[in-house]
Amino acid sequence: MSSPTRDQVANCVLAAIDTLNPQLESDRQIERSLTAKLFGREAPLDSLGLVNLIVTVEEQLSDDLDVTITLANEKAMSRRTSPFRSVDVLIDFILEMLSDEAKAAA
Amino acid sequence: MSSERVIVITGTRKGIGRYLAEKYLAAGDRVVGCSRDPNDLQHENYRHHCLDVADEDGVKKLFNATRKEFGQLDVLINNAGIASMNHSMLTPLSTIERVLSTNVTGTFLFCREAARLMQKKQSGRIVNFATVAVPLKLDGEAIYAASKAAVVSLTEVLAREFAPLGITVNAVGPTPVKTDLIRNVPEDKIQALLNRQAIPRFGEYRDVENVIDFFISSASDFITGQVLYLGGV
Repeated sequence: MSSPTRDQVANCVLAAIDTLNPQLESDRQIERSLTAKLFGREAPLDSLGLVNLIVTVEEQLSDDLDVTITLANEKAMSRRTSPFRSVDVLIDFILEMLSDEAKAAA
Repeated sequence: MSSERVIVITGTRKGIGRYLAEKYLAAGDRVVGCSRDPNDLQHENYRHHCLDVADEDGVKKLFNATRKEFGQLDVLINNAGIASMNHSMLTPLSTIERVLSTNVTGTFLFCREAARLMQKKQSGRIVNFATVAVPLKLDGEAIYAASKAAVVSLTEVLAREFAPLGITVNAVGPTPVKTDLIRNVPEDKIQALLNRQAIPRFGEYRDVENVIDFFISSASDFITGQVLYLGGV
């Protein structure tokens, strides 16, 4: 199976935001855009909200693209800057994880 | 909780896990079970997964399949476990790794994946398995008792982490029950253990079932982080 494209991954992340927003307080809504902030200074998600987002994105990737990945991995935790700080950075991180998995499987 | 709950039980091929699976199926619940080997339990509301509870990929697949078919999870019963009776100076590394892997890693992975699914409904019940070997500090069971002490600690910490999600986490601490778990333990050791209980008899499946039913009752939503030992230890 070919690797998912950036657009496909972006659609999954945006769909996850659509799922999550109704559960968030009105002042904690995530902007539905590729540049939206997610976690960190002046970002909408608290730590529990970030957990929810990660879980929801993983489920969306599994449902839409049939890929199973763990986003909260050691690579993510050891980064100097969080891969969960904004939507576009998160998409890059997911693509990187998928690429690593494809190389490992080859 | 209403009937038609979705319940995940680990170690359903035999023993207490099998007993609990049959009980909840008979009550109308949907049960997802697992064991290393295939299970001959046949029921329209039963799904079985062959896996090692410490295999992360296998565990994730079980919960993914459960989410896709049922869309929810109400109860997790972390029954699967293995024991080892040996003097610590004669305990091989392979035994240590095997016991910790099944009892600690397996319990944690199932708790983690269950909570991800349960938090959607902002409710859920997790019951882990401790043992009286922890408070009784049984000699000859260093690794088994240590692994279950870790399960107690997991239960207490996860109870706090999962409380904001409406999920309770408790543990039952059975006395020896006549299952394969104690098959290789010498009779005099078992008797000495039973004699340290306030009620010195073997546990029955129904004793464990009673505690689990209490923990997973809808009325028990204010009870979390607790370990209930049987037999009076």
